[in-house]
Amino acid sequence: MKGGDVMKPRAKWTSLFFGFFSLFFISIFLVFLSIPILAQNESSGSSRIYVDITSPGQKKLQVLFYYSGRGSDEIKSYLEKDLDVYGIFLPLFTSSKLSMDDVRLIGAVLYVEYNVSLEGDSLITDLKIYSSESGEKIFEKILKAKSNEPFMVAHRIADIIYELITGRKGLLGREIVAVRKIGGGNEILLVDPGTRTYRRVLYSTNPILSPSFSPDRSKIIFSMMVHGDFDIYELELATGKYRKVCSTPGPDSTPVYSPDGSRIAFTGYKGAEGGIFLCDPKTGKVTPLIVERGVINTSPTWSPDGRELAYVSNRAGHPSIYIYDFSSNRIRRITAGRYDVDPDWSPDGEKIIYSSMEGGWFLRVYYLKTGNIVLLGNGEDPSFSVNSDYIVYVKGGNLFIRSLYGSIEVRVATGYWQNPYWR
Amino acid sequence: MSKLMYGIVGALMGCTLAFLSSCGTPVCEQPTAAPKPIEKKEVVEEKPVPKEEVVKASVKEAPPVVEEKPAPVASIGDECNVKEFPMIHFDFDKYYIKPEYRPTLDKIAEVMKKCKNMVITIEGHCDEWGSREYNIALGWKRANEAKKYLVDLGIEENRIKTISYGKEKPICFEHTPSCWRMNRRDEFKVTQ
Repeated sequence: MKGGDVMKPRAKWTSLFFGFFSLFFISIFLVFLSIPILAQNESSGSSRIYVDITSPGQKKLQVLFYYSGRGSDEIKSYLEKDLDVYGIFLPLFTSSKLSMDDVRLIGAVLYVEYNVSLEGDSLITDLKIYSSESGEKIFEKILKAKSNEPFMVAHRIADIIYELITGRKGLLGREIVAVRKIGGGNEILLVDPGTRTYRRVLYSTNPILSPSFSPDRSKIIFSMMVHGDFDIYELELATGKYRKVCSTPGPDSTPVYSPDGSRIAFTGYKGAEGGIFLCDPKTGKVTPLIVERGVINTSPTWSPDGRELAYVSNRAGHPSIYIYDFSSNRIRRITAGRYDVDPDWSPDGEKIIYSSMEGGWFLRVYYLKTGNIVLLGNGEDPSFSVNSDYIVYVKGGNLFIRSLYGSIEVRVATGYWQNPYWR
Repeated sequence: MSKLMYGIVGALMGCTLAFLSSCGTPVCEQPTAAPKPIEKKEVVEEKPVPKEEVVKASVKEAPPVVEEKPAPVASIGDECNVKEFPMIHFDFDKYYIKPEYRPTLDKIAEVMKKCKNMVITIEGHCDEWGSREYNIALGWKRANEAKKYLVDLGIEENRIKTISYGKEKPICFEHTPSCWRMNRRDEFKVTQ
């Protein structure tokens, strides 16, 4: 909790000096914000505020919460953690109602009211969100959650705020799947980035690699070694049961569902030669796609339209990122580092993130439109969030989240983590 | 300017060394040579990739080459009851058989010819560098390169199984060049 308690409302705004000081601050703040903020009225009558979060110097946006009711305190502590993940908000909390003038004085962009009540086994949260600029209510909803899952309410509120402010999809409702090494074994875990907690899906003393979600997120596919051979397995989250779906006579790894769910791209083998294969998840039928003699081709990731695959190839002597186009059956190279691996194509289709090994590990983003490559910082094994604005990655064994645009890193789990997948 | 010169000289020396060490004999393959596609595949653009800002990494340089001595090959007792053969090691991100390990493989072939029922599993392993997935593929190449060598010496293919562990099963746990070298290996286990 950073500074939120400072705004305890018992301290009324009586000090003239403080008032003037705040007014001065607000006016500067508004001048700054008036450029990127676009308030627009929609047919529904609600207005949205779109802030350009892609500018690197973006200041944190203040959001003022007025909370009431039993359980609202608990939601508050989850909200603080949640908004921390986004890295662009400075949440302030008050437990007494403020006038819109007070909200403006404080400099908050949004004023969020939530009242919580318990009905049987359910938490009922009455949520109202106001734009401080117009003073109008821009969002209203009753949120229902199980009484023992107040964090679900917090995730929803935080996502709504992000969506109102940026016009982009929120990401806290989604868990991250990743592998963690413990003792002599491997486990597949689902990580809630908001609460920084996780739950086990599968444990095995055998190596487990590269889990990823099916497009509807009801299943996880992964690579696991059983009796000395890696094969592709699919685990149903509802039941926890898993089965082998795809297999070749070599170590099969890096399975990823096509965006329409009809195919799985993975790394497989035909004798000694390996490469990218496709597999029908219903029949298990396997067909080679990119196999070259003496070349390592691995780690495919689909473009969101399913027409291209980015992957790793050492056909030029060391691993680089390539793109395969299904319609033309051609490949092109997009990176030229000494060791570029682990590509992930963003859900918005505009970029590919990957990691390069140059002594240490570095995260880089390739922009498809311009061909530009931007260095983000240290980290490996990156995976995009559903809105393409954030990534999860591994650094020093720990799991981190950061925005593509800011430099704030949020550590969501410690330990020996590998292969996170989020979208 | 002087950096550039160093770079050029370094690159030339590197190439020469790589050429001398890896392609001294007809057995070895140059793994980085332009591969021939098996599948219908066509490269169009190997276009120059965009430049980006130079990164000053706290560079732990790529694992340096350590002097390598092949382990002595056991030849005592009943050879057909041997459980495991000495391992062989590889250069970073490479899977060609280094000349100093050919005697090790020659000995394995000799034993396997004497012991007609012997079946072995070759396990390919990698060091801690690089991605898990890439190393699974690299370990597979390492295991299969040794298998190919043995098959070329006349051992039946069905008597050699190959497995890749990638970097999942290191035998040396320090973050040192000698450990990295130890872990870049093929293990030969007698499974029958």
